[in-house]
Amino acid sequence: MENIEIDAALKFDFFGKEYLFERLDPFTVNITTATSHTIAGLSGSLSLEMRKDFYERPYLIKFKDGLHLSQKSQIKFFMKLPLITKLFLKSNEKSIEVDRYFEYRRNAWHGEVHSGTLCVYADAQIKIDLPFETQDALVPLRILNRGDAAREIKKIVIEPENLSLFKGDNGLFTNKVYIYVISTNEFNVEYGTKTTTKAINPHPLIDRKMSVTRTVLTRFDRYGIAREFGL
Amino acid sequence: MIDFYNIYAQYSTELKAILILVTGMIASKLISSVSGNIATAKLGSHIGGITRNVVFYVLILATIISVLAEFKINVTGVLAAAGIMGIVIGFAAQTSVSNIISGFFLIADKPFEIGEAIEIDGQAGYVLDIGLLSTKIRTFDNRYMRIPNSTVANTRIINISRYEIRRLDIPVGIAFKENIQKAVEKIDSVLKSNENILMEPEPMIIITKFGESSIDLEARVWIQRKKLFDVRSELIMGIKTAFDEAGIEIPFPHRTVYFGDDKKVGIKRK
Repeated sequence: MENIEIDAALKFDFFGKEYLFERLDPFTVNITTATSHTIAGLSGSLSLEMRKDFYERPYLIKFKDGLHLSQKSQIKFFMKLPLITKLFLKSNEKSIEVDRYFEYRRNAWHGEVHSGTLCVYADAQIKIDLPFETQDALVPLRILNRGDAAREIKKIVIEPENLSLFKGDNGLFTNKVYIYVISTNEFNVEYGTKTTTKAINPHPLIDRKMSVTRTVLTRFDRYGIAREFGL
Repeated sequence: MIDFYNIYAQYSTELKAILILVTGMIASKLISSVSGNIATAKLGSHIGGITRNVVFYVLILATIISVLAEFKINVTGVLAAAGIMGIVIGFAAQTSVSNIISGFFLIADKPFEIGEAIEIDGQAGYVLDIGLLSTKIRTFDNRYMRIPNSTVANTRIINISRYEIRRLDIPVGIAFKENIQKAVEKIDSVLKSNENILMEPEPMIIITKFGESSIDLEARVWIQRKKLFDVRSELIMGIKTAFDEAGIEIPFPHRTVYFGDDKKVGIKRK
């Protein structure tokens, strides 16, 4: 957090984009970049703040090599979840969003081509235990196969509206997520209310205040037939 | 003292008629409003409005007939006259009636809704209104187009904006002498570098046929509908650049003229 004094200028680098904040008077701030120029009206003690937030769309996360689960088994690990970084110009009570940075810009479609959902796409990056060095959040994920057949998981969908974000001394964590495998392309996702016990001194940054876990049926369909018929 | 009985006896017909008229009008308004609201909730505002009007006018007609019956006017004759009138108007307004009926089918079938982009009769644009007689469209180049509903009902319609994503096909040909695998790799790298292409359903490159002058390939990618023009331009430009850099030839049509075995053609140079 950096303060902007009256009649002073502050240079700030936001993911390679140079910002110049100049406070012209107690109520006006001049914001300049290499390509744009804006004037913002904000009074009081001003400062810059960066906040992490979830992407606005569901996350479709693909396991590059697939994930194999034998019958009646489970696997648990930490998975990296991309976050947006937002830059705010903040006064005592008010704030203006100046910019936002997305590392992941690829999208993917989840579901049937005529009735699905647009998702943010990310390749799965997982680690069985901490430490896991990342600026993004870690999802404590548990995948359970309660069926009598071995299953392979290639991708999962996680919905940000069911996620809370906690800041611990050892990084950012979400609440626990459980995936119950029904078939290769079908599973339930359940969202816990707490984060992992491995997060040190966690305190909530984004708290959904869910009193009960939520289950979302997530289904994948193969597109092979659609392609075959040139749809 | 006012003798109400005598007044009623003297004007009973008129009083009854007034009572029927007032009650009928209030009931028509109420029933049409309720039925309109139900239709709006279940089938949308457009059908709701039509239902409201149809119910209202039918009930008003029934009220008028009842009032006439109170005055001992032969309603059968009026109805017969109305029937004949209806037939005459029907013949005279055949096209309009056809349009109205087609309009009802369009509303019920819902091939498109107000605000959607459609392609119809070789023209594409946004639907402004679906009226009883005609459908109004604002074409993409900002012209106002009115199409009679009977034409709309009998024409092939493509609803451009019904689904959020669509597939974009980019056909490209390479010379017969070129290495197909290398061309496929170049196209693949262009597709992978374009952030507007969806990762799922996965993009694909297929080799479609031996063309007249080229081996024909096709890149099939899924994109958000609103990004169609941007992505198409980016891909055509990207593939052309990648092929130029790799020295892959995109051929133009060739024609080899064959004169037969026993005929030799000599070209004399001056």
